[in-house]
Amino acid sequence: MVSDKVIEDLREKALQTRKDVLTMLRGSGVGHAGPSLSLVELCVALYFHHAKLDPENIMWDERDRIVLAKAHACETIYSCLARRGYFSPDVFPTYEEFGSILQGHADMWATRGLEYSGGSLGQGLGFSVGLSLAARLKSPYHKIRRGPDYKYRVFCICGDSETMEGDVWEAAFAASHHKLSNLVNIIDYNQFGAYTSIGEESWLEPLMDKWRAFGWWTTEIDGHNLREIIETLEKIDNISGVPKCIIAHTTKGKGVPYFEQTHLHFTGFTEEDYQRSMKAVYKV
Amino acid sequence: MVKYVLENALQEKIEDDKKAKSLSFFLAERKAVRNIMGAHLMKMAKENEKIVFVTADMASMEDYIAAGIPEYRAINLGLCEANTVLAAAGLAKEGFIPIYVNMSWLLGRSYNNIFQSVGTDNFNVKFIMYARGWAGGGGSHHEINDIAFMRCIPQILIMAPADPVEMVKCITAGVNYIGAVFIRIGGQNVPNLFEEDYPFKIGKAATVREGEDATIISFGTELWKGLDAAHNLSKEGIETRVIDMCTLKPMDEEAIVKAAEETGAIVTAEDHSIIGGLGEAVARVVCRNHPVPMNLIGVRDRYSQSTRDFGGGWKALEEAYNLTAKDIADAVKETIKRK
Repeated sequence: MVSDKVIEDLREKALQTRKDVLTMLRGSGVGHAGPSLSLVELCVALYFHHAKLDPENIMWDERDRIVLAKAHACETIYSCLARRGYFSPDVFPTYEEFGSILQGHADMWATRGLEYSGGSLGQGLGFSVGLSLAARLKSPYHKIRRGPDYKYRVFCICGDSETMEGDVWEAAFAASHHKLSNLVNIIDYNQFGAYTSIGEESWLEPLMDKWRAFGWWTTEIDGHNLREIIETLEKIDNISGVPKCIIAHTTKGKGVPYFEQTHLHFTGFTEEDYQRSMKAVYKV
Repeated sequence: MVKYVLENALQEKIEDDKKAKSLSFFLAERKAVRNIMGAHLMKMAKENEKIVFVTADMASMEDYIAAGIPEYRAINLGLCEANTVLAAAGLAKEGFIPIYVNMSWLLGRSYNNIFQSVGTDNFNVKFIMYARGWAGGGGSHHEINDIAFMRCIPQILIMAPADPVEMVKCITAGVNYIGAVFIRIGGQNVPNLFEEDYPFKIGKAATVREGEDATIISFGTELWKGLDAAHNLSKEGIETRVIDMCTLKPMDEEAIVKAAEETGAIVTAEDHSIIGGLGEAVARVVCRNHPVPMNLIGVRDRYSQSTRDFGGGWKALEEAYNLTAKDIADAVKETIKRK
């Protein structure tokens, strides 16, 4: 059971993250505003509460791996990493500048604390399968057959449109065949791709049945309800023998009302937009 | 360094070609290359616990277990080439050395994944692709573009051995190298060209025949056609240098410039499209450093097709696509005229 104080504290952090995202957008003048804002609560729950991380020692072997497969939404991760102590928040205005440690798509060699360089959608889950197979190989051999002694968990954050990529389903096959119970795929189901409303045109549904048919333990949650996110993450730790998928229903551009209405994906961002959205941003 | 007196080697190959008329011989021949490759990989894996095999339904698990590799270090990811490459990238990030062994023509299926998820971070993944060249199966199975699309991946190491001795040395060097490696192994069996003590070095070309009139630069099984051509040319009084460009990236630019300066004419020969292959790579070095007349032998912007000419050196295809020793020899004569 998570105390109200913890949840309240995380809500504050989520608001701070949203403001950081806007600061980065102001710096570059463009950015993926919508998809970044939809996964704020998911990232905050992982980085500030659930995942085992050590910002002092980024090569700690037992840290949890967080893979941002939808690497265009990197602004949110940058904010979480900086506020968690991986680097200074002072670099936010340099986002997407030439030579900046904050690249336009997540790049693990540029940004301290990232686990994966992404950009080409659909590849993050397959990479996560590799990370989770590695955890199995690092477990003592005699334990592998009965249930490996996983030293870390792998959290992959996928976009909803991204699950249309064939690579995702190849990875889904492999993960359930190899019974990778330390692998969690979190789908940010914000209903919109770059230009297509996948919710209305029912591209994905029935999404839950699809993942279940591939042998994944699957559940649906409200992706902006921190209590529900944390309780689900804690619950699935006790499920063994299967990979797990969390379908998190979210809103694109959540936290800034006029973003929510326009389902904004990639956008130009002027100083005026910044002033307006900083005034409008609210605590979810 | 070179084991056989050239004529003996060629004679032996011709004898082989005579034997090689049946399908069973063709399959046995293919297997010989694979067996040497497989046995060497298993030996390396037993010595190094970090080596992990990832396979996309292209090897039997029994083979690994029989060779003494623990079953969890041979991971079958199913008939999913794209995901196999991604899982290999993940394993490499965690400090393992994933070896992805598959048929050459399947490399293109996972190209974007190699470029984005392996190449960008230069993960320590080894792509060992066999059965390349004019294998059976028709045009879909004849990889003639892999060098073109792999060469432009920054920092990747590409090698294509010409004989079993060089293949074993390439695999050892490639697995011990830190970074992404692509090794292209021919499907055609050839006698040993090099002695066991041949000092193989990554990025260093081997001159397998000396000559002053022109140079043939080649690699892999096509190198044998180049040697054959040089042998025939010497009967006409033309002495041709033959260079084995085993490391295709980074290339031995010094050997190319030296050949251009000393022989004044260069012909490249490859069982690959002339677009984006060895020829264009050599031309880049030559036109920058010491421009000389050149000629490119390779597949000329065409798709391949099937043949029943198993084992006989794939003569029908090689003739149709102008890849024979005679084509190389003609190209050398034509190039010398332009000196």
